[in-house]
Amino acid sequence: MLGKLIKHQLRDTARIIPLSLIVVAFFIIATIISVQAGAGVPVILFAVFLLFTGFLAMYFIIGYCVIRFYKNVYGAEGYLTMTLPVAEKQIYASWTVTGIIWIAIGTVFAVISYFVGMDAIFMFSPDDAGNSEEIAMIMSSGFYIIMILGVFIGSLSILIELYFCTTIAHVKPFRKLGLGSAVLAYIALYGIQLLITMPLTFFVPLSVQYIPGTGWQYANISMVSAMTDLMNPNSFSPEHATIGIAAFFWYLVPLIVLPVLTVRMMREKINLK
Amino acid sequence: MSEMVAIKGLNQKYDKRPVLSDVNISVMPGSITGLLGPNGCGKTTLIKIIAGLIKDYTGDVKIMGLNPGVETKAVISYLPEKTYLKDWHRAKDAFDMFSDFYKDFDKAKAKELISRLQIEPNARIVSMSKGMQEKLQLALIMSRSAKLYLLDEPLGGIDPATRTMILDMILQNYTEDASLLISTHLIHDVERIFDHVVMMGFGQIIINEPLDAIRVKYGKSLEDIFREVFKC
Repeated sequence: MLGKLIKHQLRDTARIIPLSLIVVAFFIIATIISVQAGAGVPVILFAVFLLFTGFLAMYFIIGYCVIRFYKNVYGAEGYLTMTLPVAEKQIYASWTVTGIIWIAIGTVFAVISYFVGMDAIFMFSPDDAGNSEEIAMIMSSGFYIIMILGVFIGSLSILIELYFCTTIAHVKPFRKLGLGSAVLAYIALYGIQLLITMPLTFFVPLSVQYIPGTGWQYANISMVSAMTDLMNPNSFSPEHATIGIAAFFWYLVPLIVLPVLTVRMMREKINLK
Repeated sequence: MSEMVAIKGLNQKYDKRPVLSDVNISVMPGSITGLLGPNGCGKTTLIKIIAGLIKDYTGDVKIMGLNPGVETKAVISYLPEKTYLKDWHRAKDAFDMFSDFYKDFDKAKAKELISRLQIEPNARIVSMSKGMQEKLQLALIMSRSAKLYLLDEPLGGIDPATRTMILDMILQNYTEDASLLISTHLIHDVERIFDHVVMMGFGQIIINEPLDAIRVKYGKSLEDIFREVFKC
């Protein structure tokens, strides 16, 4: 039954989501062609649009999946969805898998957009003529893996949080507020996440570090220590860029907890209006 | 004979307002039960509880001896008041959906029913009138060989000329040993098909008897009794 649900949800979302990816694909091709043609201003223009649409497409994918989840489960369509002989966890799982599939595709498009766009901008920016090679080096040294993971897990977290907030808005004490309670729940959740992830990112000595000429490597240092080190004129450390990665592991917690809570609410607390 | 639906001491509130208060009902297999009452009396809530859409009630609800859940949803064919089909779906997409999830769905029968109702299988739901959408939904749920049919206001959006045809369609297509629970306030149109009547008002059961017994007891038509009970 889960497979059949996924089939129907994919068919449902496939009507609209690919349109946003076609727009991104258009700007990727336009940017590459204009780079090869050596056109100055159009390259910058296409590259900026590419960075913008690549970023926006991911939000569009998440937003559209959440709207369809809301309509399919809690809207009028819910009268059919919630009376199908399938468990609530399967309905939820089908929407999560659908979201994961589209987010995975969106991540590929977003990462390609980022590198093609940034490469084009640096190549045609007179002040940073040498940076194109730098980007190529960053890519070859594995930064793209961190970026793919970051975009994918970050987007998936937002999707799961929004499914949770949409669901909580239909539970009895919050139902009166309607959509407002979903927004409030998201703000609260975002605030809690921020309070936890900021210290994890900056203060936990778990980072990846980019050192020019060496590439990316794991570092047992916090972002704050690395920044302090950079600003110290007496430091002997080479120039480097450091990204704290401890928050990545925290993002796995809501990815497990929120689905469990959402399914529980769907099973026990939700009444269709 | 064991009951198809057995409800004991059922209570449900919206906010603090009681919608159902100590409701006790039995629906026997093979019977057609009319659930009658004015707007807001709790008919739809009761049907939604049996269909498994409302979960935070108190009391005991059993369908073929089971609590509402995945197993009962497989044997219940439910027609809600609302139109639940996706705007972009065509009738044939809805058939595919029902075929995928309901083992008892008869696609050939559904095609025949929509042809009788003059519904174009390739027309999108969004292009259909509300009445046409309701007819399509009715064709879908009557194309199942379910054990229990829950019809919530099946004639609500249907024009008077088509009502007789719809009622005949319901009678001709439900499985013999199945039960039908029909909620309506269009009593005159459906009175003839009921075996049993449950009349609800203010969240409580007012009458719960076989139709013949009601006629003998009150010496009036069901519609006259209804008018008398709910006189403003």
